[in-house]
Amino acid sequence: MSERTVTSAGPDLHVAERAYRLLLRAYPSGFRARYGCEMTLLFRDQRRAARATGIRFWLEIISDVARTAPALRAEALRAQLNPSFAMEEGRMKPMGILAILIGLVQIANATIELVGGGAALAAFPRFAVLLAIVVAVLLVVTGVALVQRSLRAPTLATVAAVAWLALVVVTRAIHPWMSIFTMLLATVFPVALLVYVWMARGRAVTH
Amino acid sequence: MTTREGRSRTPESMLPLPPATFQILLSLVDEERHGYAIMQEVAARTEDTVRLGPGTLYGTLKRLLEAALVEEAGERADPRLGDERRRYYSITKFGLSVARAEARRLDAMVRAARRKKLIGPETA
Repeated sequence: MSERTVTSAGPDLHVAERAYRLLLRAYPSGFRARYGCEMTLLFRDQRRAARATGIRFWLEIISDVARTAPALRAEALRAQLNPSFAMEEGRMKPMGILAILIGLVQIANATIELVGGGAALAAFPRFAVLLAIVVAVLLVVTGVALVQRSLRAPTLATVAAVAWLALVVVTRAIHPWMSIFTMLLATVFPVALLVYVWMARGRAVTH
Repeated sequence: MTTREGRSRTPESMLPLPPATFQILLSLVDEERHGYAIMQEVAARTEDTVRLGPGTLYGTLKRLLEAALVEEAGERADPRLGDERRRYYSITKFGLSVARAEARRLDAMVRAARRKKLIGPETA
């Protein structure tokens, strides 16, 4: 959710709000960016309420910050260190959709090859085509998991990427004339997928 | 239920709820509210014995949103409080099940305390 700005308060509220915004610095930056404006607005509402004035009010505010900020900072730190996969929807969706599309195209391609080749297809190429279908199905499942931000997505993505690389090796064995360029092209997506998953782990900010 | 993170959870697996969490869920059971309205409703319902500070309220709301017990319900001004736009929150179906399970758990504890005569019989 985007960061919002709180509309200007009256002059009597300005000093108090500035002091409160300073207190908000005790919270982790991500939390502040997401809830800082709402908290300031809520603080303003409390100040407007007749009973919310004086030393008792400030003591309650300071005590609230002192109780909650360390816990939220610890949570943010834990999330950064947590190896579990916390995915950012906006960034994972494109990779998921790409995986689904590539998987579907590959399923269609392999099916045509399998049907077109018919009985004439030798055992080893037939195995390669079947492997291609398996990898493609795996890619589609991975794509769906990425779009749904499932916790299984990183495992599936790793398996799909490794299976894809194995397929490239098998295909190279069947077609030794396969150019270096084609091989590089074939390895780009699985490697990109692995790097992407690895980077997403590093970026994990929530749990 | 399977969350957007792909974890299968039951309402009972979320229990026991911290008091502030239960109070916030309870305040959202009948209608969607913004932060200050949640704070006011909790204070009024508990006769000011539970007062949620901004940090407690939004820290809890953050966790409730992550756990998909609560969801955002848009932004709009509250005519009673001026023209500032406020973000509203509503309880999800799963959040409702969790709140119900927690209420049942608390009810069972109170009944046990009553059987032990720790507190008096219920007055209707």
